[in-house]
Amino acid sequence: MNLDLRLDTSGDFYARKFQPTKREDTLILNMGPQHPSTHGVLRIILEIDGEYILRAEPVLGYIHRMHEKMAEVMSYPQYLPNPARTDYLHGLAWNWAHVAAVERLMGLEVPERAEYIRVITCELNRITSHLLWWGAYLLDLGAFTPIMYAFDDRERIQDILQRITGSRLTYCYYRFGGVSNDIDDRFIEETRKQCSRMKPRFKMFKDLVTDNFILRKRVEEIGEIPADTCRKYGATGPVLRGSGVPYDVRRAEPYSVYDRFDFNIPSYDTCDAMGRYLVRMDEMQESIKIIEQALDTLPEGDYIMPKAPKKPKPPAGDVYFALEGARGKIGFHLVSDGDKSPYRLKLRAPGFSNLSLFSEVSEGVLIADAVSILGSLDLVIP
Amino acid sequence: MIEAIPTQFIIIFVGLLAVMAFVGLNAIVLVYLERKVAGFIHRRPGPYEVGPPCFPHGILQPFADGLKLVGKQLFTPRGADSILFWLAPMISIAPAIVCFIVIPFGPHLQIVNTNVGLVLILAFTGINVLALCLAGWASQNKYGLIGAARDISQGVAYEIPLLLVVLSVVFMTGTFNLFDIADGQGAWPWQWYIFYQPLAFIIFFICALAETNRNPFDLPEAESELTAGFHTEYSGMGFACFFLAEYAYMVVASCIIAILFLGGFQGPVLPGGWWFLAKVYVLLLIMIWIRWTFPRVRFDQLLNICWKWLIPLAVLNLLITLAVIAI
Amino acid sequence: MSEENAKPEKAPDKEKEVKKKEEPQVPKYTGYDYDCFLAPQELLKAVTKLDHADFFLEDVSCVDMQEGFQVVYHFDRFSQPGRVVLRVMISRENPEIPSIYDIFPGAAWHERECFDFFGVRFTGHPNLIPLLLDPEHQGPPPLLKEETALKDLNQLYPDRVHTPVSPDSEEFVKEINNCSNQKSRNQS
Repeated sequence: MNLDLRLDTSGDFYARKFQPTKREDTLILNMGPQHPSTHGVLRIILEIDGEYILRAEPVLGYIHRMHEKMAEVMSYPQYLPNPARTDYLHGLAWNWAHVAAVERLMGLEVPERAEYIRVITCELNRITSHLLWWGAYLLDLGAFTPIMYAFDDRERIQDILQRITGSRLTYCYYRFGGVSNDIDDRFIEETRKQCSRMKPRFKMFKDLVTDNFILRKRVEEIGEIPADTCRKYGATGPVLRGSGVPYDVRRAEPYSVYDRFDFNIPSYDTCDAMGRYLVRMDEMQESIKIIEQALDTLPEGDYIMPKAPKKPKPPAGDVYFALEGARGKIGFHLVSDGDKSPYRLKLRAPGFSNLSLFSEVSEGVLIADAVSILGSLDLVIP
Repeated sequence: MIEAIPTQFIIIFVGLLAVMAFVGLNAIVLVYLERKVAGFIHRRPGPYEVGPPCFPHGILQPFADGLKLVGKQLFTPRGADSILFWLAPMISIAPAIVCFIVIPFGPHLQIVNTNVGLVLILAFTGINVLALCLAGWASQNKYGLIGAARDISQGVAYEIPLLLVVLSVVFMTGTFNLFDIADGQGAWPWQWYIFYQPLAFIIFFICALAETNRNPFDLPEAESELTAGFHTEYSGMGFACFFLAEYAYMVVASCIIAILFLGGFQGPVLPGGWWFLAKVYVLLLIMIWIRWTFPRVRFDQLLNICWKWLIPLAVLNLLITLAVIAI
Repeated sequence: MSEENAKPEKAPDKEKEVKKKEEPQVPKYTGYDYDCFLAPQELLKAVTKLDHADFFLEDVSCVDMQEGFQVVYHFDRFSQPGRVVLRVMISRENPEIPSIYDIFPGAAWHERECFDFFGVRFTGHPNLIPLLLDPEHQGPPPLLKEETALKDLNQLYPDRVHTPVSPDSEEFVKEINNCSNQKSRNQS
């Protein structure tokens, strides 16, 4: 029997590129894309010494669907359902980025009520995204129960969103110049009820999970990412805020009506997985604060601008629109030549930049910690 | 002809059959229990829909699970050592069954009463480490190999505090005979050894969790790190054997804890056998409860707990026991 | 919307060219606070300056046009938010541009993505292999446009100055130091 496991490195293109080093006592391990903690979308080639990782190289593209090419062959309204598919957990933010980029290029004025509706639904979506991350992260750490608690709340929010937007996961709710459907009293009432229901839940989550001794040992001082590393790699979102930089596009580059709400930007300067964990937990509470303020001050008016362009033809030129998604900064670089479809559309996926620092951070850590770090980056691979 | 066979053999033979039935039945009950308790902790109903309506609450689920496992194709991965590969699950399950022979289930319910019962159980449970090691090694899978390596260091490390706390109890009672140990305790809870040896009980319980690879110490099969660890490549009955063995070892561990610390079959009013069963199942429920509540520890933390905490504490416990006995 | 209180895009240079302001729909705020073209050989110098000014890399993108490939670098800053975009034109026949990997290691993947989709070669990149596409992908890079569909600079950016700026010029240094999206907002 041939047990020389190093011979297995003659795998595919990427495995061959990942040449073994001179050391004879290391093992090349292929983790994913069918590995439970890479969630089916990522593959990492590891060189390990015992259980310590010497080198790691992520291999992507397993769910890449070339949305940028699709944008070039579709007209603007045809492309509306697409962006939400790039980040299936925070679809509304991507939907928003798309319509807002076109609106910015065309100089459309969105009615105030529509902006408020966008804020409310996008924040609700952010909470569902963070809840799912929370459950899945703990699943990665070996705790099976929290995801069920997370789904309890997540399902309720999705029920609320479903009635208004028509979908539960990959939303296509925003339109150029507004939203597709006005919210009604039932939505407002249900949202308020859900907000007040969730507040005590966060305390329960903290008591049940966050303060758990074993969990703290698994996330504290694991995967330290200094703020400067974040800058060099362009990491944004909770990863950056977990490194002590309170940078949030909602505050730094206020879009829509975010500058009217009072909310904090949680940041922890521990730089470790615990910092990123706590940022997300706090962010959900901040989102609830924003939603409640928005519901209190919801103006009357149109939910979509009158004479909203059904088939927009933006003028030639290019714009960049950035907004804060659950995973970080979402950027749409839209180049138009004045035609009915974009000349070039570049999507900046926050997970892409956030993941690229993984190989630097994971050097010298245990496999179990690598799983913990991967989870704390909260990945949706583009 | 029949007279030529010693009665002892007949007893052992019948006993073994009974034990196998017991292990199988236990597994069925435990699978159902585990899934239902998990459902309860998750705030969901758990298995609910299997079979016709005359079987409510999915009580046929374990049978459906078993049927599925039996029906699956046995598959040997390419490059695997097929002899060792298929030997491993058998090595895993066989000693688990033998362990039950010496366990006193009740005052009159013991197959073999031997002076070295405790030693026999500790020796046989040790074989499981070998089985898991072989499984991981022979499956020609890197995750399996890492799982096997983890299992060996974990199994060997936790054997030490386990033996040390068993020794403290043995010094107290002066015997390795499980029946005598159980018999030496009274019917009421304050007469049980858990009150004389609380630290030993805690250490033993933690070690039992680690030895049976239960969460939070399920590192050899850590799903999110090693896909399934040593049994990554097993399907069908190969996997089922490991699965059965894991439950069998859980039951063995609970039995030993019940005998050493909780008075075994001793108890007021009810007959001994029922008390024993009740104690064992309370312990099993606690194990299941822990599994669905805690995250998994990391591997170096697991070994740190053992070498830096449990072993010194176990030694201390042993020394105190000896001092008390000497006085 | 942010356009409400945003000022028209400030031209990066003292303009000599006539802006095509006749177009009624020109965006008030493009999302760029400083926008300039660079010569390929001066890219690294400019990026180093941005690095020293505490910028982070948002993304590297590429646009296929008649003059060649336009490689677009977006930078932003944590402390004083403001977006700087560097545009570098390179020829279609020999699409080579220095890699900024040494300054911003995070550019590695963005550059590999451009290599995948456009075939732009980044010299000095340590690991320029396919990232998102199948490594056995046959045929031309997917985002290349057909000859007939190509547009030129004046069609795509009618209101920009296309002459390269030198990163050594005081203009550039001043602009990146003062660049802030608040500035363009508050002036309205």
